[in-house]
Amino acid sequence: MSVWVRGVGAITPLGATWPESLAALAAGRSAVRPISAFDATGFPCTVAAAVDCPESEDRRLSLARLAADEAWRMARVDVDPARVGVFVGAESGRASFRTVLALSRAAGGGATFDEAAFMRYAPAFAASFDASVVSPAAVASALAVALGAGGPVETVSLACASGNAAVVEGARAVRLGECDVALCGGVGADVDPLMLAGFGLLGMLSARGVSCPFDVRRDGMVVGEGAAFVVLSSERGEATVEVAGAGRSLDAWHLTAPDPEGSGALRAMTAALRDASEARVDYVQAHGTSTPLNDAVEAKAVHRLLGGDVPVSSVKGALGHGIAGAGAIGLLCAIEAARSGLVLPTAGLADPDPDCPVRHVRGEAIRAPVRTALANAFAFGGANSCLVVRRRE
Amino acid sequence: MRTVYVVAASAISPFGVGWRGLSRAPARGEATLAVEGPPPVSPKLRKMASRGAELAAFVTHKALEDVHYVADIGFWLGVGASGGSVAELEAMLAGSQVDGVFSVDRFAERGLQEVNPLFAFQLMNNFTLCHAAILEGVGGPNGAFFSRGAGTVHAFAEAVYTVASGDCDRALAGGADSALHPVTMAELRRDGFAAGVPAEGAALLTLAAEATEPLAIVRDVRVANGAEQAFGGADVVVLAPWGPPARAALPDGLDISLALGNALAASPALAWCAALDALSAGARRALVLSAGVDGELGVVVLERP
Repeated sequence: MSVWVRGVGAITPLGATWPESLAALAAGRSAVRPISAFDATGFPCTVAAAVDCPESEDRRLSLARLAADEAWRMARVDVDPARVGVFVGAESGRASFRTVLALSRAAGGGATFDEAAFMRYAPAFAASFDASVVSPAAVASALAVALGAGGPVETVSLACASGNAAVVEGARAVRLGECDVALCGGVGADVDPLMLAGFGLLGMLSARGVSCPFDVRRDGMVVGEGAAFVVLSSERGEATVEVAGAGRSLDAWHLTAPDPEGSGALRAMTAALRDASEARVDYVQAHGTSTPLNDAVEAKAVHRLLGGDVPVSSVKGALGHGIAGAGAIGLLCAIEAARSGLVLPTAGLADPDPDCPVRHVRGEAIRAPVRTALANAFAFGGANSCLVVRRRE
Repeated sequence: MRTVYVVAASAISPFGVGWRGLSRAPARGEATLAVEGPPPVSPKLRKMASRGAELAAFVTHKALEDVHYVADIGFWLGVGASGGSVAELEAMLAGSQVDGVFSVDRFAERGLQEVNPLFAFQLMNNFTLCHAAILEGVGGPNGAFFSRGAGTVHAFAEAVYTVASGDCDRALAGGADSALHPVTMAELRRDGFAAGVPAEGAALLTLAAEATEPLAIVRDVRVANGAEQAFGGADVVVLAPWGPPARAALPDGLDISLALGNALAASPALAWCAALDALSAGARRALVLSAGVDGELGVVVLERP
């Protein structure tokens, strides 16, 4: 059974809608700016790619709703809500520091956690504490309620591969008849002090404050945020692009570094092509994080699989790394390439690293004869998820 | 589609290490139920891993003790919100206050120095799966499903599908979680599910397309939307409810939460292990029902070969 892409939607640091973001991405613009949401002086990296939208209690949910609404409106599916599934890639949200401090005080406020004290104070405290802002499942639940969706509702928490993997789950559910329509995607909202501190302490952020995947001077990622969703359906409607194949693997190598041989990445990409019954693709939207290790390993794996002639780019140069939302945003870029032949550039790529031997797209978008495209998502911890999309006449 | 067999299982719970005897574990009256003693994992892992990841690493190691080739094994887990070590959060907060008020400046200047640089790995839910995969070299198709009741059953369904379809020949499926974290406890209490006994644990089933002496055959695995179901043909019913409200929605059966507490994402997997124990003791067919805060009903049917 074919799985058609009926609708797409996104909110990114470059646009409140997917067409707006697409135009900015095609022009080679970058959304990386000094952080303004809080004073980042003294933090390991003081820039990020943040979405310009009002603050809310649960930023993930706000972003996801906007992107999902756009995709759903575009899809115009006529379906019994009981046959709609929702599949979201998301990690935990963040309770406010005020809440965490209050929790700490409830536990005695000392150097160790006083369980007895906490159990005395917690009931009164819990009434004012909205822990749904922390739960990864809150996004999928809220979207499902809004649609009245009665099909499967799943939350995939696979870090940077979450959004891509959620679409894999949605596509599989449609293919197997578990639902007729699947709203699937991912959201990340990690431009906050805790995650910046966490990534910084691990040495993953760019000290130069520049996101430039595959560039010889790349020195780390820039954190971004955003949400992207697709509506998949077993009925074609006016769709021209289908989700043709998926592949997943684990590096089983290191917490932050990829398998240096790229065998995990290669297995996932190969599995996706095999699932799509394709020997090759015409474009790759890479994971491309601007970290020294990932980009070289991914480029070599792509070269081993496809050679050096297939155009490759990563929108993380423009949008930063949206973590749980990144894989879904990348997928939209692959879908657009298959739909229209518009191949987006890697913003910030000035001097390609010879250790990244692929055909880079730099500067502005190009037009290319793209029938099939591959979207890669390779997560911290080594979970890899790849999707192949294909245009059909 | 191929038949899928359960060829092994591993578990850790307040009952102890192992799955045998889980269907006969006695009910307990404690306010919380913790796994006794730290699972024997390395100090290095303990520093980097959330409690759920620690427990997952332990059961994964047990599940793969006699397996020599693991690179293509699939790995599917129901996971919870890892949360981060309370001790780390306490230290960070203590170093980030000015006159009792949280200060971002002080956080950057001093609070960061108080934190274990690896604490980010405790915050990300995928590491519950990835720590174990890295330690054991598991490299096949995979997924980590955040569970508020049925996520672990989704993980099981994916694992069964990948083996049945030939995507892989073997897969690990289960859950790992701890409810003994203040943020998790507060969340459950707010949602009205804290009347159950917070607990922790982890369990995995090893699934395969071929088996010489399987423990069980997987006959059904699905997630229903809590609608009334007619369940028949099972001579043992095992229940994994998240607290009394979820329990009220389930039929009569062996409620493992009475003995093991509510281990959240691990509870359905522990219930599957209890079902295996019942099958090994002579039952022919076991139905496992799990229900949580998400309103979904997880259904698994295991049959003695």
